[in-house]
Amino acid sequence: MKSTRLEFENFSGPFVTHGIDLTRDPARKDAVYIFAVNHIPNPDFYMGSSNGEDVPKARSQIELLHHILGSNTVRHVRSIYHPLIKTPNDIYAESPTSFYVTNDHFYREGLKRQVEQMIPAAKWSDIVHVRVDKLESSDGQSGVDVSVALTGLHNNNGLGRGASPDEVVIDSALGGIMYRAKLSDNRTLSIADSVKVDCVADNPSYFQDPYATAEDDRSGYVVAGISRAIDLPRTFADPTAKDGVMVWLVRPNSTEPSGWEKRLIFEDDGGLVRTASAAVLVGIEPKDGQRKAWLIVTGFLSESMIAVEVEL
Amino acid sequence: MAKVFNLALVAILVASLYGPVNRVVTVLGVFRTPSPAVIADQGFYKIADTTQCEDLHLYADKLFAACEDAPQTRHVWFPPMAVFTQTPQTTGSIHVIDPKVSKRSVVATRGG
Repeated sequence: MKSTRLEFENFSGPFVTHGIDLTRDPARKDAVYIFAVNHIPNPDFYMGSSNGEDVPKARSQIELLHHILGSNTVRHVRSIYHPLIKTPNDIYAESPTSFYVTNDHFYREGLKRQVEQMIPAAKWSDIVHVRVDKLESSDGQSGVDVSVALTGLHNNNGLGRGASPDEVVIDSALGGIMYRAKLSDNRTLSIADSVKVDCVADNPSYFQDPYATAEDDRSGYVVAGISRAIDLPRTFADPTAKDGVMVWLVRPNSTEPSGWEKRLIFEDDGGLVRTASAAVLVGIEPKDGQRKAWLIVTGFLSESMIAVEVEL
Repeated sequence: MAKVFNLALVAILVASLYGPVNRVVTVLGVFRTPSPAVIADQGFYKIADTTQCEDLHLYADKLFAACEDAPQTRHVWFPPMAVFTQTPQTTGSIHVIDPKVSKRSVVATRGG
């Protein structure tokens, strides 16, 4: 498996990466728009233009990019920032001019943030819906309209597409919970149901089994997480540390007491891949009755993505 | 009588908190010993030039990721983990990964 690094046509950064999402270009079948979180330093803090105590150190924003499929380049269309995009983590793109983004914390740092992390009742994170009035703009604040789409989850983190076009999958990282939500016409999300996994839950994805039959459909939701999140505050700054991973495949199953079937399809102590923040399944054509897929796992501290054959 | 009442209160408190505390302990992996993956005869790849890619999406049969590229940046600047030690000096990028495998090969077992 080969990775191609896309060259920016007109952007030199900084680009501090996090969540992304893609949406088709309605004007070109062979092109795609990419929304990407960018955690840049806040000029107001580092240029010393105001009292540093009240000014956040980061002014995280979203970059809108455009890519012609099959090419080796990506064009920067515009930046998007707004006071309600405070601690962005992941994105669900609706169109080139609208998307949802999670704010994973209410507090950016300090003791209050630690309290927010440790107490499950501190459901202070939110998801906002963002609309821009035009694609191209040199001013990141221009024409940006933001409204709150969902509140009341603890540390909402990753977003993913679900089993249907109106389904959004949301992970609560420190809650270890995957939620299924429905899109609505009024820019809000409503929770339909949820399932707990036994570790932090980062970014979710949905696996649509390409070889499904009426009798045998292995489709399900893939949830990637870290085995010992308790260690992260200590290990994060250490380039030599290991952080283990767990990847779950969950499917609705009414015969289970929880209503869900959960299977740990991959785990590692961090020797092969350090941290797992996202995982995707790619189906393998059945052979000799075996149902397998490639599981691609990546993490915010991983040296490389890995791909491993797993049984479905 | 007061002693019995106090004991009952403690018991209720413990019973009420046990579930939520146990859940937090489980999610954070406090008592968990991570297990190393065993790569036997299944296919396995380490995909080169995919450093610290936090997110991954399948689109048009390709995988898209945003990667930090320079590993040192993440450890000194990552606002989502409240790490603000040093402002970033490098720029990440978007990567496209082709998940098609032309032939099966086992690249390595542990340590390879």
